[in-house]
Amino acid sequence: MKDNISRRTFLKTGIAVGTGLYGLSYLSSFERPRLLKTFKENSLKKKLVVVHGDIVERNDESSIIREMVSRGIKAIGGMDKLVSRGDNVVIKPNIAWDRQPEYAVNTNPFVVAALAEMCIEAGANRVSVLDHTCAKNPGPSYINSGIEKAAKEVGAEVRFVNERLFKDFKIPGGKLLDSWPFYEKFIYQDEADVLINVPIAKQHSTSRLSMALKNTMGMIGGNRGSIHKDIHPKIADLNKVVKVDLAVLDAFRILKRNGPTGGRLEDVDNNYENARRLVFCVDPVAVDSYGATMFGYHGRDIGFIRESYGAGLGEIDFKLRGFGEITI
Amino acid sequence: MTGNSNVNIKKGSINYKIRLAVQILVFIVFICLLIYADPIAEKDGTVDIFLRMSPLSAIGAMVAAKEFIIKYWPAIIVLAASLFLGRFFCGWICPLGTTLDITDRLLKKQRSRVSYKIYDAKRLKYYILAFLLLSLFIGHQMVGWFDPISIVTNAYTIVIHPYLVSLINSFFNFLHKFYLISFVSDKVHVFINEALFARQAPFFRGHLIFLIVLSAIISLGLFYKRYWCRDLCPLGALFALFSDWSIFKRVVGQNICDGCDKCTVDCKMGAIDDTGKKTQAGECILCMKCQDICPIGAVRFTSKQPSEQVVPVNLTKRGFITACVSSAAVAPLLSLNFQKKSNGDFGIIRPPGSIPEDKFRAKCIRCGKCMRVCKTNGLHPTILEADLSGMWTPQLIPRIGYCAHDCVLCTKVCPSGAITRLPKEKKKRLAIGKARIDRNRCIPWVGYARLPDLDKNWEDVSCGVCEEVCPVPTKAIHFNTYVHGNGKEIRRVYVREEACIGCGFCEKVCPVNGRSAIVVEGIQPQVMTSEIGMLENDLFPVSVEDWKRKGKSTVYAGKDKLFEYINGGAEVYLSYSFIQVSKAVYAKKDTDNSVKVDIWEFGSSDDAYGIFAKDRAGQGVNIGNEASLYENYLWVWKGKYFMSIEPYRGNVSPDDITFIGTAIVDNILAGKVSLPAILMYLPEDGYIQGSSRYFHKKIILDNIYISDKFIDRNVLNLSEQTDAVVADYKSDKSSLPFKILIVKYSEKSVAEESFKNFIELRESWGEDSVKTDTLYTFEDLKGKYSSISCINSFLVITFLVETKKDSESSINGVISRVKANQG
Repeated sequence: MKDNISRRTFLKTGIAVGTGLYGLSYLSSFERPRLLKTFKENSLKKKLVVVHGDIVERNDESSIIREMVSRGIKAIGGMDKLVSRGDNVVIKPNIAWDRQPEYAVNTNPFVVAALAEMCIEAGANRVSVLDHTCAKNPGPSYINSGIEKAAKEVGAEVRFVNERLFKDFKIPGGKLLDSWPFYEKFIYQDEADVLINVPIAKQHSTSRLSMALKNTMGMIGGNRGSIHKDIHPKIADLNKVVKVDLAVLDAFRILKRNGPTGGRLEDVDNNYENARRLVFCVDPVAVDSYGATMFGYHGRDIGFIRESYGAGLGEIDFKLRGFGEITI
Repeated sequence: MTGNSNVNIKKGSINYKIRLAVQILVFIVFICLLIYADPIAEKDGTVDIFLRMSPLSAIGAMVAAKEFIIKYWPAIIVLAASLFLGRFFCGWICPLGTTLDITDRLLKKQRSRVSYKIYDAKRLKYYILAFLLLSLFIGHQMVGWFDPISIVTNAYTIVIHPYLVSLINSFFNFLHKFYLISFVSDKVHVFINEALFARQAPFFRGHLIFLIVLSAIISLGLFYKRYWCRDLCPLGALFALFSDWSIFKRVVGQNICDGCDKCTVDCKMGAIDDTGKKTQAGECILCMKCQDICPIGAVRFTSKQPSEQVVPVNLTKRGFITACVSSAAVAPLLSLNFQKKSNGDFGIIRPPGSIPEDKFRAKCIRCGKCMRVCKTNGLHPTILEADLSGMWTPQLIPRIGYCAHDCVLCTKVCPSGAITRLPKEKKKRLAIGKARIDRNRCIPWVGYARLPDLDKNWEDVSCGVCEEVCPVPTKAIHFNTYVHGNGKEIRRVYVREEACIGCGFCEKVCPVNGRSAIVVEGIQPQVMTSEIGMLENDLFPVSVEDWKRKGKSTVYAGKDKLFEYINGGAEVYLSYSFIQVSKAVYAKKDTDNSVKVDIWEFGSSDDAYGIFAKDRAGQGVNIGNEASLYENYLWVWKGKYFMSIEPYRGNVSPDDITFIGTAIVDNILAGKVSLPAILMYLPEDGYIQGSSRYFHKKIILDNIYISDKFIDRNVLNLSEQTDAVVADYKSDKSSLPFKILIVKYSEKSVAEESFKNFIELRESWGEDSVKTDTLYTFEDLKGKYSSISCINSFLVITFLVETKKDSESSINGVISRVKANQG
């Protein structure tokens, strides 16, 4: 390399490199059009199915839950009615907090694993499990919730949320929010053909309960704290964007008090009468409406369920489209 | 292996290559221990081994803290080893040395221009060492700033790693925008991030300061190779002083050396004199380079160095004295309180497990390891928050990252024991700070403060994100729900200081822009919060002599739960700043007598008094701040608590009730408490003891007989923001007492509006009024008088007075008291 460059070369190369870089960044500013995810065409039954099951020993939990999930899915038609060969499935559990499964603040890992396994059996191309955690560092939450291990064992992809993949999306007919940053993987068709929402039922201090509709909070970015002001209509707004194909509510353990973080075993309800069940339905509003009954409320008592029903996102009367109970 | 000075030996030295291999290997280990610090520390691996190998920081921490620190055993081994091996540490192990070797090589070309342009002050490092060691005795630990291992740990943690990660991130983020490239680049990106263990780009405050320091150290390499090591490093000086008995001293074959000067020029430590034969043992770091490059293989390393080849350490008396004097002068200057806080309480949050502040500063060697492993990136070096002397010690900045509830990594990696090890269970209860709410910023509190605006155009001001994330299982943040006239709620946030562990999660997530509305301040020393079970025991002892608590107490916190507890009449309690009520039952041994104890907690002691004044009956007894006993029912007011003790089953005597009441009340801590301020405006003449009621809202007044007609509308504009008191007074003319009501409004205009409202109301009842100045007197159908007047933001009303004169004089009595107190 020559040691000195002339003024002319400096200007020439400077302009050339500058234009090149500018051109590149200009090109990169074009967004390739990507299709938004729509509801997956499926032939699932519309009814709500509740599967009861109990365990005597802790070791049975995995197998019992697997049984409960497969019976539940079968009752609404079977996973192959939803997932077609080659589909990309995204499973959204609640992994918000750095706590162990017995505290009932994160979705039961076995439910997630069982669903992922069934999706893979149905021929899914890729099953990814992810959540935007509330804890700043998702690592410990993923590990301590047990979901990372359980899901990886059955062959699902477990990924952390990548901060740069949040994109602002318009909320059609938003009551309070016009747009909000959502995570791309839940929104775009090429990322997700099927979206399965797997929340846990727990008490929540701001929204009173946290279930399927509230679980959408884990699909968004931005200043999530500010959602808490006037939370109920905002949750409904968020659900207008997210197209959930199937909601599976984990109520195997439910957190009755000091939610959403819990941390005390006394606050967890493990009774067969109140908990120990899984709820399956294609309609998240119906699922939440049923879930509310476990806490002694009606669907209408809970603001965001009422708002979501009002926005036409689902049916608040969970028995309207059929109701089935299975006991194992 | 060494020492073969055969003339026919091949060029090059196997020793040099061994050293190079060892050095590179050690450096790789060092880097890996930094990158994978989290997972290794999680498994209790020793990631701090390098830091513990430095005798300088070992001496520093031990002398400053005046105790022997057993954790520093590697340093002792290293020091003992250097007795025999000389400065091997510098050449073979020290990661800063390796780093400088690398950068020196990169600077090779540039160095040729300016090399040797500054003074090669080999003695300086000894003076620095003297300076540092002397300052230790003055009680000021500065070795951390000069310890090479601390410096290199900081360099990689605070500067190089974050810069590298953000560089990689920005590069791949750029590539991500191109559709075709992003297919590959995204996968590479994920892989690199996972390999570097950098899902989040770490960031450290003050990185620029350290970058400047690091650049300075590196760019000194423009003048001499390893300038830091040869002229500045106090650890090197320490080793040099111990190196006299080394068994590896450089010996040159006098007869075969042809004085080619190669080794003199190439020696990065400048340990070889111009002839190439004499060696300063204290400077030689056993890099074996001279052996490697010697064209005739004349260099050996043996224990016996011919005396003519020895160059002793050569310190001047003057330099030494200067170092000592400046140390004695500078160290106290650094300890001067920059923040002008004499008690050393700076309110900064130290990592969990930190020992008390004084000792912490003595022991902390400013290595930045705790900051490296902090999972939330919340630990940052202090710059001036902890004074000059505490510079670069760790502090938690919750707005950037909180202290994760389940994480004890920083306690595991501290090399010097400034942060002591903590089991997870203990850490979860250790309070490192306390949260405070800034009511001028907090969304619900601000909303509550501007209720009049809100009333016209209601918007939801409930927030509560801080409560939501609070990791304390029973929550250290609670709500006090205010219910507005239109049925809407404002959930105002309270911190329960006794339960708060100061983790800062609330501060991190507070959605208020900029500075958080809930701020955590560090506390020193760190204390354990009570165990969850003990919080209950705090209120309700397990037993009071013969009386045993039956099961656990039940807590009803917040509005919803209160309705669960007492369905009717809950509004009365909610009209005060109700927080929670806890209930427990005590049973006497061998009998079926039992009593029920309720402890109500309110937002203020005034409100607790208000409930007490409403409920009390019977005669006053001397328990708590005030108490009254009626048969076997006891009501007590103490601080922000109100207690009611009543028989539950069986035959309970008043003595039993008083006994249990006293025992439980004595158990509750309350500071100095005074009666609500408004009570002092009540005239003393004719006041019937125990008849005053203190309240805020209309619901309480509705239950007090003040006129025959029920006042449906809230004419007096009573709300949470008004303080009101009503009391009974004896009358000379009648056996029935009359009443005086005083209401204090937050604003004068509201008082005047209420004044008008009340007059209109009485006029609408068809009552005649007599007006003197601002005093109106009405006579009702039964011939009782009622007067009203307004002064400043006060409204004074009498009810059911026998004569007009009494009514007016009572009002004037109150007014004169208001005037006297308000000036």
